[in-house]
Amino acid sequence: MNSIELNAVTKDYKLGKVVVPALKGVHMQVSSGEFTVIAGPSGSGKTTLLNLIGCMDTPTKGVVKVAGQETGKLKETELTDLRLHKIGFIFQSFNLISVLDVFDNVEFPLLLMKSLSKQERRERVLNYVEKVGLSGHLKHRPNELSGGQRQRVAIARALVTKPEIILADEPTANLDSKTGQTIIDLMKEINKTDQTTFLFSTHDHQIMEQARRVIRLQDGTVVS
Amino acid sequence: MDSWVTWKIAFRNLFLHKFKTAVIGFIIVFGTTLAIVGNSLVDAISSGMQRSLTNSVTGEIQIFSSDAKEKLSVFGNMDGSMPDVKHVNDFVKVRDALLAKVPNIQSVIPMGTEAAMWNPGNILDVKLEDLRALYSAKPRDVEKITKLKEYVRAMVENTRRRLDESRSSVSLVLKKDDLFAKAPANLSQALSSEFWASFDAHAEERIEFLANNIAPLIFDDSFVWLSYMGTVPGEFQKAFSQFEIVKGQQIPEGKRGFLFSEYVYENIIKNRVARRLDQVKKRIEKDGTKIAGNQLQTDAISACVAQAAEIYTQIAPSDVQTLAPKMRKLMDSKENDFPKLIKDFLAMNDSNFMERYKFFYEEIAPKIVLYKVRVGDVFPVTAFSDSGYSVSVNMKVYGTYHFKSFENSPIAGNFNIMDMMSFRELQGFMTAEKRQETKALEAEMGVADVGRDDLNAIFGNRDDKPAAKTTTHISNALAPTTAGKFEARKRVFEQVYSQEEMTNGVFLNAAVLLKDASKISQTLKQIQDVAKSENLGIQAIDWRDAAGMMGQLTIMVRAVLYFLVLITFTIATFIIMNSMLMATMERTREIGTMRAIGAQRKFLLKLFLQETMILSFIFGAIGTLVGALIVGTVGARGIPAMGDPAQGDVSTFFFSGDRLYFHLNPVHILVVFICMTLVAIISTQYPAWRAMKISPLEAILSKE
Ligand SMILES: Nc1ncnc2c1ncn2[C@@H]1O[C@H](COP(=O)(O)OP(=O)(O)O)[C@@H](O)[C@H]1O
Ligand SMILES: [Mg+2]
Repeated sequence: MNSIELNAVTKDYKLGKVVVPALKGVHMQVSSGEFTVIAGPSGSGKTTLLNLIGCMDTPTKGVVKVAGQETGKLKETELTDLRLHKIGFIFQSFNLISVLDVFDNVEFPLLLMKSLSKQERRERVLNYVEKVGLSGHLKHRPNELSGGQRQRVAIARALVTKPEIILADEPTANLDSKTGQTIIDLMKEINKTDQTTFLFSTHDHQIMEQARRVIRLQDGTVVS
Repeated sequence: MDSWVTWKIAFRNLFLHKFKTAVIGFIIVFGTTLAIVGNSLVDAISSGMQRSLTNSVTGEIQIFSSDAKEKLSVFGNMDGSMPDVKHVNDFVKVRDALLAKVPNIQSVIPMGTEAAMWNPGNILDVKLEDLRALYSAKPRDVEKITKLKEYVRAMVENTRRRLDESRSSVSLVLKKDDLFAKAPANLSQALSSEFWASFDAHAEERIEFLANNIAPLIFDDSFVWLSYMGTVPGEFQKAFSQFEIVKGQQIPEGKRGFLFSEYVYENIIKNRVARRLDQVKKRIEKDGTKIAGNQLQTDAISACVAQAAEIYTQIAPSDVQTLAPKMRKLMDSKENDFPKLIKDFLAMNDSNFMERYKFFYEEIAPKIVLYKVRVGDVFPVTAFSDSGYSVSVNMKVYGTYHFKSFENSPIAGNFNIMDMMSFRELQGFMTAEKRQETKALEAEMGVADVGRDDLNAIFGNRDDKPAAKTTTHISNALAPTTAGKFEARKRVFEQVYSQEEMTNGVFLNAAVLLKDASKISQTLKQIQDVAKSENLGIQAIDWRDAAGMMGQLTIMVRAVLYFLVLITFTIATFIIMNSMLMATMERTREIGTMRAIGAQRKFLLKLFLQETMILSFIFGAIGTLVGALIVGTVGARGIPAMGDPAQGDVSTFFFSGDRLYFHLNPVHILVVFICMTLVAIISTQYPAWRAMKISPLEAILSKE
């Protein structure tokens, strides 16, 4: 079953009168449970592609289907709901809420979902915080954590809603290579145990080599 | 969201900007404190004023003619004139109809307010009148006549002396006629030994000469304006609980008579020098204000010295002989000139004031005319109609009264009280006796049915252009030629009337006192209904309307207060809005992240609202608490009435007592609560709208 499906997707950015074509007719599919890397040089369209898949933006032309829904046909509130329930995000610069501690940061999307009791939320949060190895830092605020620890919090936050797809735009770019490697290892492990679909971009060759599947982008088109 | 994470976020953000939070907090605390304390104060003043008004003059409701040309205002118009409210003919009919049909009415008291002029005359006039009486008495008391003649002669001497001292001090009225030009000649004639040697033989002629040529030169006091209220005094006293007789007694039932307001009596009728000394003493005693270094006090003392003549001209030569040595002893002075001695005496300072004040009242006051009218005296009250004819009524003064708990307020203390019958007569309405007279007049002049307006036509100048009431009054006062055309019957005050005669007849307005004073508006409505169905020809207004400008005062004060509070809260709203807007900019990335993770737009609205709510409610609560604390401490102890104690405290009227007590009103707390909610909601709108426009892409685009 396809978690993600792109058909002849183009995305143009308008910069004043100039139209910048970021994606030029992309076709691709990602099946459930896959661990896929989007590779390509800077400016090739990786972020644009992930934004479209992450329902944060809609294509200029073509069809983007995420978890069975065609994003171009959805209203803003429905896109937001889709992001909340089906997608987990891991950002390049972690994007934690600075005034909340680790527990609260991880719990945050569960509060937005409103479907779990306090007790269920607590169990869920503790489970994922343990998975990313931060049980000892529950009460710490982001500025009291290292970069690697922050990205682990972000991973826990992305996973806590049990989304179908985890998207990560260059999750290791702001980390040293050793820490980056442990983050990749963590993601691989979760992929294996939970069967969560992982789709992340990188331009790091070392990381690309570890992926089961690599989609190469160049100049807004898929080259392999 | 059933968690307090959003509260946590809101709180943390407020803590991050402590300075801004403090500024906003200060403004809100200020605004709420102002609203709580201010409203309690205005409440207290408002109810104090209501108590003062309803217990003294207006009652809860006032009724007056439905034909009134102007709105009733018992304290007069802004320009000092009385509004033209026309009149209602039959008081008893109106009263009985209302009492029968409106159960909540306790009593109806007829009234009417007007101002009259009174020329008290000067001391020479008074003494000449006494002299005239002594000459006409049989047998003549030669000793008394001699003493009084000496006194009169001394007064004439004093008059020349004062005229020589300062020609400019002579009244303007005098300067315009030739009396002033002839004054030196007249004075030397009046001081010639021949004039006095043959006085007894030509007593009537000599007295006339002095009255016509010398007395007007002692123009020491101008006309006195007296505001008076005609009513049925006994019923008035019963209806208005604050009413209290101070000097003398109430006007006996069935008698005509006049009651001075104690305030007017002490501040207008009393000898000017004595009044000033009283003021100086009050300031010293109440506020501890020393004479030295205080403008008001030194001015008062200088005025006393300048007006020393009002004392020494009044002391008979025989009294000077006993008084002067006592004064010289007290003052340790060798001064032989009596006027100079009095001047020196009045030039008091802090070290001798109390001693001399006591001496003044024990030794000097009994020898002078301390009050221009004494209790028990009969004096003429003259009222002028718009068309210029005047009516004089001789009134007997039975006493003075005040309203308890605001004795010192010149506002309610402004009115003197007279019986309804004299009032009607002064207004130019027919009284039973007058009707008899006019019947005779009619027969004489061949006029049928003389009403009030016809009287105007007969006695007034028809071609008089309608002028502002006050100016007409003054010009009439200065042109006394029209005065007295309607000769007052001198001994009318001795007559006894029935209750019916006293009560029934024309009235201008009437106070309606209620059994249940909390039902003013319902009762007002009922009265209006009865007035219509029974064709009473009256309209009714509540005490606030009846008090005119004064009734509106607390409404205006409250409006100003609300305006200030509104401004404060508006400033607070804008500062909060600005602060939230800045926060929106600062938190673009965080907001983008929340949106990317799956937060809906309305979640952001909620987040922002919580933040402003915290601000407004925490500080609003602090402000309310501070306000409640102030109200609880200061309000319970009461604010003392302010103002110059010597001038009478206007504030006692609004305070309805010496102190203003105020207390917390839950309604105001509710209002503050609503205001704070509004502040929070309004200040959130724009920043939240800006925040909702932030795209989830901001989470990725903006770098840390
Ligand atoms: N918001 C934008 N407005 C205009 N041009 C953009 C915008 N985002 C990306 N681009 C352009 O689109 C192309 C693809 O960019 P991007 O998807 O960020 O590539 P990558 O993530 O692989 O570096 C680039 O040429 C970039 O300049
Ligand atoms: Mg990129």
